[in-house]
Amino acid sequence: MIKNMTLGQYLPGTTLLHKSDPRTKIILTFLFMTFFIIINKYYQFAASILFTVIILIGTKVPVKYVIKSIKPILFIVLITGVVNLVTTKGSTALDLRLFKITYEGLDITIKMALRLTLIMVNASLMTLTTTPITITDGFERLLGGLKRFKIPVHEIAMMMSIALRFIPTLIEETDKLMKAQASRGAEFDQGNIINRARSYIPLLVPLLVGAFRRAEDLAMAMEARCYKGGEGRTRLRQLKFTNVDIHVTIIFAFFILANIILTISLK
Amino acid sequence: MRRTTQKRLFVVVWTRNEEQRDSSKRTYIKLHNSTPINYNKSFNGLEIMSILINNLNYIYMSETPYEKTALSDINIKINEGEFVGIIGHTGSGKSTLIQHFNGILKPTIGKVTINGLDISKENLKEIRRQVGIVFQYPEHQLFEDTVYNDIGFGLKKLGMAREKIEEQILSAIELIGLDNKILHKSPFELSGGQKRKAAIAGVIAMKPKILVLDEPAAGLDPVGREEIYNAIINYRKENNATVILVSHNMEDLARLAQRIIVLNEGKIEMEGTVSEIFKKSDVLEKIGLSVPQITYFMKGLKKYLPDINDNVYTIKEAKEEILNFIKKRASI
Repeated sequence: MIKNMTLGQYLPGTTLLHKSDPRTKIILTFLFMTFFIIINKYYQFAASILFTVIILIGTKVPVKYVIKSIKPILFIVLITGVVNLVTTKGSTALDLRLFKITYEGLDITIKMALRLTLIMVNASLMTLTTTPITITDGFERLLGGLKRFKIPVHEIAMMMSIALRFIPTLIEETDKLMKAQASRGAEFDQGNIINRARSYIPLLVPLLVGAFRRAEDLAMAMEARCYKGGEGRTRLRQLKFTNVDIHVTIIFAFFILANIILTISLK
Repeated sequence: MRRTTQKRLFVVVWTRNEEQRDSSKRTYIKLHNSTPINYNKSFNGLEIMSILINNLNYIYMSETPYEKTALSDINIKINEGEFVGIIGHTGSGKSTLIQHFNGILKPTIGKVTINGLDISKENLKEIRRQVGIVFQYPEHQLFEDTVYNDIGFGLKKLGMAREKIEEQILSAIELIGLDNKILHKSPFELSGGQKRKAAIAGVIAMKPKILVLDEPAAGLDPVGREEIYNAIINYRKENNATVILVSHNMEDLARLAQRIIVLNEGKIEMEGTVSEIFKKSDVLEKIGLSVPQITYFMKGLKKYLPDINDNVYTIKEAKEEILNFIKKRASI
C-alpha cells in the first residue's frame, strides 16, 4: 500500500563523487557551505552556479532529484525573501504605497535565495552520492577526536546506523499491518481529524510493539556476539582515502582558488 | 447441499474463448430471490464460482525503474466450498496472489471476481466482509486492550449490534479452542500459540465465506498446529466456506486440501488434485518443492516390494496400503 517509496536519497552510481571517501565529501561539503555563506558578489554566485551544474552533470544525478531536494527550503526562501524585500531600507525601486521595494532589498533577497539554494543543492549532492550508512561511518571517523571529551561518538554513530538500517524494515512492517488491518475492515484516511487519528491506532500499537521486539532481539544478538563497541573494534567497511579523493579534492580546491584569485584581481 | 439465497446472486459465465473473455462481452445471469441453488453441482452446466481469476498480471512498482513482474497470466477458478492449497517456494508470488482475493492489491492487467464482484470496481467493504485473510504471523497485528476487543474489531467495523458481536466472538473462540477466561486479558499477555489463535479468531469471527490463510501454523508446536487445522476444517464444514491454504508443508496440504495450485516464478506451474500433483515429484523438486515424506518412504519401500502402491500421500493412507499389502500376501 505504501508505493514507490524511495529511501534516503542515495542513487547508485560509479562516478568520481560516488567512489570517493565519505570523509572527503563531508569536509568538502562543509567547506563549500562556508564558501557560499562568505561570497557576496554576483560573479562569485555565477561561478558557483556554473561549478555546481558541472558537478551535477558529472555525478549523472537526474535533475528531478535535485529539484526535489530544493522543495523543502522553498518556503523558507519565500518567507525570508518577502521579509527582506519589505523591510530593507534604501533607494526605492518600486513604490507600492503600503511599502517600498528597494534596490538593496532586491539585492539581499536574490543573494539569500541563491545562497540557500546552492547550499541545499550541494548538500544533497553529497547525500545523493553516498549511502546513509557510509555517511554515518564518515562522521564517526571525523568526530572520533571528541571521544577525548567523553562524548560517546561510536555509540551515537551505531545508534544512527541501526536506525537507518531499520527504516526499510519498519516501512515493510507498516505495509503488512496496513494490509492485515484493512482486511479486517479498518479504514485509514476517513472521517474527521479525530477519527483519522484513531484509525491509526490499529497500525501504531503493533508497529511499536514490533519495534520493541526487534530491538530486544537485536540487543540479544549483539550481546551473544560479545559486542561492546568503541575501543579496539575493527570494522567491516574500512574507510580508505584513494586517488579518487585526491582528484575530487583537486577539482574542488581548484574552484575555490580560482574564485579567490578572481576576487583579488577584480578588487 | 441445498440452500436458498436471500440476496441476488450473479453468476459469471466463464469461457475459454479469447474474444468472449473480454469483459465487455461477459454475460451475467441474474438469479431471483427464492431460487434454490444447488451449490456444489453445476447450474446450467456452469460451476458456481467463488473465486474467478482471469488472466491476472501484477507488476510491482509499475512504470518505474524498479518494475518487477510478480504474477503473470494467472487463471484460477475456485468453487464454493472447495479446499484449495497453494504451494510455491519463497518469492513465487503466493502472497501477492492472495492479496488479490480481497482487493488489497488490484490487478495490473486482468480481472479478479469474488462471488460475482469485480475487485477492481466494487465496494471493497463488501468484498472484505466476504473474504477473510489471515496473513503470515497474524499475532503481530494484535493491538486492542483486551482479546475480546481485538477479536471484535472487524465486527465493530461492520457496524454490528453489541449482542451479535458478542455471539460471534464467543463462537469464534470456541471454534479455535481458546478459553473464555482470556477474553478480558490483554493480547500481549498471551503465549505465542494463544496469540496466533486469537488473531485467527479475529478473522473467523467475521464469518467470511472465503477464508484465506497464509502459513497459519508456521512456527507452532504440533498440538497448536493440529488445533488450528481442526478449527479450519470445522469452520469450513459449519459454514460451507471456501478455504484457501498457503503452506510449505506438503504433509498438511496432502491431508487437508482437495486441490492444489503450484506457483513458480509468478506463473501457475501445475494445478490438480493432491494425487495428480504429488505424482509429479520430479517437477516439484525441480522448482524447489517436495512431496510428503511418507511418499518418499513408500517409494523407497517399492524398491523392495515392487507390488506396493507408492501413490500415497498421507500417513493414514500409507498405513492402510501397507496393511492391505500384508493381508494380500498372507492370503497368497
